[in-house]
Amino acid sequence: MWVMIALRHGPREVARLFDEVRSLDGPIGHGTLFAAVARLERLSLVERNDAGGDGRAYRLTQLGRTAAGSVAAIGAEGIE
Amino acid sequence: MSRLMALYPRRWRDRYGEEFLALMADRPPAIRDRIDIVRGAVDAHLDPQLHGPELVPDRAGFATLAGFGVLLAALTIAANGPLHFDEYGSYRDGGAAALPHALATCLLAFGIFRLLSRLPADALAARAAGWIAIVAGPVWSVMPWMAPVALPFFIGTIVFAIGAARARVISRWLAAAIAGLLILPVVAYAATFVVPWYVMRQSGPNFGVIIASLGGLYLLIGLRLLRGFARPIS
Repeated sequence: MWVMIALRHGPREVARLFDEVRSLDGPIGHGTLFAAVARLERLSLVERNDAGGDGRAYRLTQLGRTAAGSVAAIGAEGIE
Repeated sequence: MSRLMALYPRRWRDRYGEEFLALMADRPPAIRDRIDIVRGAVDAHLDPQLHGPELVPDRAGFATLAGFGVLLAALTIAANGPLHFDEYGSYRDGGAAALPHALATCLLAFGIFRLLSRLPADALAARAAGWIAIVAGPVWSVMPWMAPVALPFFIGTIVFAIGAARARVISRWLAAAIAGLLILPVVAYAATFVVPWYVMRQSGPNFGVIIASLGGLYLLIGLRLLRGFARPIS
């Protein structure tokens, strides 16, 4: 889930994604990050942009944006 | 670093390996992270995670597996052949098994051909070795005492398997299994260049073991074909 939250603000190259997820979810490991990314890719929530100008970056798919928006909305309601 | 990544399945490494190594270089893993990486590798093996391209079985595998059955029949016929005696001792005349053995080997060669068809055009050594095996195999099957024919068949198959693994048509494990199965026949036939020919005939049960190791080859190739491939032969 934190991967999707981190990607809500746009495509992220892996190292930056790693840092942002760590800032959101604490010290997750390299293995956990890639396991999450692989599962999200399998679910078509996240995709890799191989043609990006500055290296490979992950981004939300349309489905992923919808799902991340719902997660964020539920989170915001929870906070209120 | 790369040793940790080697724990992951090949398909996973193909997909994420480059980024994974780059991340480990940028953010060197602490001890805790290394444990997490090992845990991730176990997870990747248990739950492949990746979108797998749909595998299309190659039904030619059935023919190769049928070849295994024909090979067993040929072995049975040869083992029950008439007993002959000469100045070197006794031997079973397996001539009646020649036809079923030839048929079995042709079915095996067909399986090798189907794998060969999936090799990329630039895999020249593997292609050449495969063709040598495909041609030498059936010839060997009707004159199994001929080491100059047997060795190109066995060695060709081993080289083909290694090349196919390098071209990622089969796994390294399968190539290693094929090489492991065939090393015994290679050694046995190579030995006939330095020991009298009748020594091999006298060690009849060992010859049975050699043929049995071939049976494993039928099963490995047949099952590999039936497991399927991501793309059909173009």
